[in-house]
Amino acid sequence: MLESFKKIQASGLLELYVIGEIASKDKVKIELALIFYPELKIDLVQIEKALFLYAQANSIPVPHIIIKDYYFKSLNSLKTFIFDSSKILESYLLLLIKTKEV
Amino acid sequence: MSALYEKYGSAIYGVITRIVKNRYTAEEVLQQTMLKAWNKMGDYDASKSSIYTWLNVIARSTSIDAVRLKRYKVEQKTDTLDPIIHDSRTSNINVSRIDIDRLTANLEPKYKDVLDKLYLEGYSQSEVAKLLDIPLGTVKTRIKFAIGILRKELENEKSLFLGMLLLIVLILLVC
Repeated sequence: MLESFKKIQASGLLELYVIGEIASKDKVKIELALIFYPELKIDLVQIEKALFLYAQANSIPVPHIIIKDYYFKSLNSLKTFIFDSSKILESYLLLLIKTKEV
Repeated sequence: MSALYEKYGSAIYGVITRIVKNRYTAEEVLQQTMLKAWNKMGDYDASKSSIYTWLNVIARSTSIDAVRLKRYKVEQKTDTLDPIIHDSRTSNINVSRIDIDRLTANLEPKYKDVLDKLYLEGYSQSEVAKLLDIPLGTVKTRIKFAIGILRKELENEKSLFLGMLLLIVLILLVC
């Protein structure tokens, strides 16, 4: 059974949910509570903002090499996607032609 | 995807670096995180959390997996984190929008310790309890209290900003 709004708010589970250090059954409980008590979302957003700013204050710039590498990999995966798509299209057309011939 | 890197990359990389305590592993984990996010984008549900929270949870679990796999906690030297943070490539820590000193001014070390260990360094609640030699219940209480202080600081900052804005408007009206 779902606990009361106040009880969930005071439990500290919402904080652990945002951190990602929460047991699976508690995670389900919080996600259900967010549906049943939409006002809980206000708390959730405030906790998220506070923790995001804390992480930003402790941030470390991403080395440029990683970003360059990422763009290179993205380009490669795009190339693979286009290549695969063209292969699928080619196979489909061949199948279509064969079906027509039959 | 590049927008994710631009907006959240540094914050996420900061968390990952503190968990894995090794620059090269951190770079690898960041890339894995972004790749996982890209592949799981369809699973993201905006009603459950912000995109940053979602990304941070992926980064946290990927980092913890990396630490477990390579047994960094056993092999690492205690002085490996400092060179990463003070490295010339990473010395410009992004504090453009906020001032860490101001944000944490009212955060007592006992609360900051728990928050850092749990949120930035990826320890579990029971690990934090063991490390700091405090009961598990105290960890839970301190984490809630620490975040409560940060929320209050943010509220104060917002009120200060609105006050300043009102003051400027009043001055302009008088002039």
